[in-house]
Amino acid sequence: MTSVFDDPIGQQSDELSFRAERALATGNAQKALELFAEAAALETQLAERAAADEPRVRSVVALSAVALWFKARRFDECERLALQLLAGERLTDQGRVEVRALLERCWREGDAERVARDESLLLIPVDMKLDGGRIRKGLAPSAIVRDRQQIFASMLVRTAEWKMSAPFRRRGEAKKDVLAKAGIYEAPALAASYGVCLYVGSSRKVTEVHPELNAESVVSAFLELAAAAQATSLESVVDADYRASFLAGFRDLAPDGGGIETVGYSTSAAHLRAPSPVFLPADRERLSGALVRDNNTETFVVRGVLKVVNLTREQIVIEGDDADTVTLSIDAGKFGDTIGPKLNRKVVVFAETRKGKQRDPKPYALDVRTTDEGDDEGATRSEPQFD
Amino acid sequence: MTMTRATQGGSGSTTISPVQIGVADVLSACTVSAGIVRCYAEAASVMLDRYHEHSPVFGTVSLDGEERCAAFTWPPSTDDEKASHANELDAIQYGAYAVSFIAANRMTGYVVRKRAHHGSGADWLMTKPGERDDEFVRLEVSGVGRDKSLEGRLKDKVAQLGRGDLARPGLAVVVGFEGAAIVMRAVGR
Repeated sequence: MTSVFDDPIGQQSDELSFRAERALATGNAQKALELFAEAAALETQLAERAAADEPRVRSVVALSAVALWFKARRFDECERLALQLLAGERLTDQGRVEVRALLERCWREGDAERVARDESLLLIPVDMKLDGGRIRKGLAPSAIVRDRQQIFASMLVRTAEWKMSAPFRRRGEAKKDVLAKAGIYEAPALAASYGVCLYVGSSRKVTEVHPELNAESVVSAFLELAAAAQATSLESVVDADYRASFLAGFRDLAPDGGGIETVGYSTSAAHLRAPSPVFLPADRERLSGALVRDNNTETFVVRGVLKVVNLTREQIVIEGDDADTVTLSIDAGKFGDTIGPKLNRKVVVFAETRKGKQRDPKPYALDVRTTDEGDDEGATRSEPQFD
Repeated sequence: MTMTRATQGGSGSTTISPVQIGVADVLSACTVSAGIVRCYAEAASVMLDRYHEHSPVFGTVSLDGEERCAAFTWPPSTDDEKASHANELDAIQYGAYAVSFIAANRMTGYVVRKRAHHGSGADWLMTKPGERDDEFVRLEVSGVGRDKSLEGRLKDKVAQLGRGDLARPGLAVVVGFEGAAIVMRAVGR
């Protein structure tokens, strides 16, 4: 029997999927989908030819076939083949886990496609995958995930505002015109890995009028900003407020090495050619270093629990172990995207003293970092005070 | 082709043969569809032409930290080939595939057999001649144009293989075109 690796059908399938990728690269998405579907049909035939005494090969080719149907966005075929494989004996244990994960993605993408069609939306997925530490397959401490989901969504809106060249928003919600161009939609998390999936959506009408700013451009920009932040090279963000906000956001999303070991970003929209950076604990440290300005003013450190955030008065209050409190001023807007999840948590605040024009010197927070993510305390908090 | 390199003690010299990274030989390192491989080989020539005046050029190839001299040879790219590989990101990716196929074959004896489409944490599957297909190992490839830290990139690729879902050994490869350098690390053996 010919090896499936040498089977001409397999070679044709690889060639078609290669041509599909080339079509995507040149912006011909429709052609790419057709070619992926042709490749998927051949790979499905190939999977049926694989010998029973080569279980790993049989499993990997079957998995390829499911993946190609998914890339072709032929969700019915993808589902049918996945269910057939799961009901049979053709997959290894690992292949079974993978096919289940693909099946869930297939259902999720299928649903999103129906919503997009019914509501005339352009919906683009963007994923944040958490791994290692206290994250288990499909199960994660809720506090760790909830905090990041909130910051993740805020960062996407902030990215849309930056793309629109909107003045830096110092408080309050984003304006309606921003949300019309880049509304945030939540999708159920997938099993078999822990991730947060959000969709950025813009109405088709808006997309036609503003082809340069829509869900696609916001997701691409977000992923490019993530890659640039990881390299601490956010020079493309000229506005200092936006730059500080992105640095702080990606820092707070980055893993601390205790609760989480890696945080990766990607999109499953195959036609978007955007980076898929994966952050490690060292990135968090590097971003923290970049956030505390290296200037002539003297910085000092305050440790304790963040008890009050008052965005109206632009103040935070830290309560130390001895129950003494320290009130620090904050720059308007600087912490708006990221400080909410830090309430009632142990933090370390880097601060500096600034002299006002006619006022006494005041302490200003430069950076607020949580220090309890790996602890159980981080998951059990009292009612936050947020005014 | 041989090169002479002085030994560190300075007491003499050893004659060593560089690893031959001949872009035109890529078909001998894989059984992937010839149409795809020709495209990868063209991209490799375009990238090498971009950074080097002419073939051959001497560089390095290292496997698990052990470095050897490598001789890169390639046919000159035509204007049509340069035009069809004008997108640098694609040219780097495709060119890196061609170079990594050859390097993996010359350094480990593996032959690239099939594209890995999903979830394996790798780009390609390889086997050794005479071994059962079920003993495949994974190949994960990355390329850079201008010199950057190849080792840093290699670390990322090793991590990617580790996160992959196929419980099989793997080989991470990073190709640097400007420096004519290839770094490789075996994972999970």
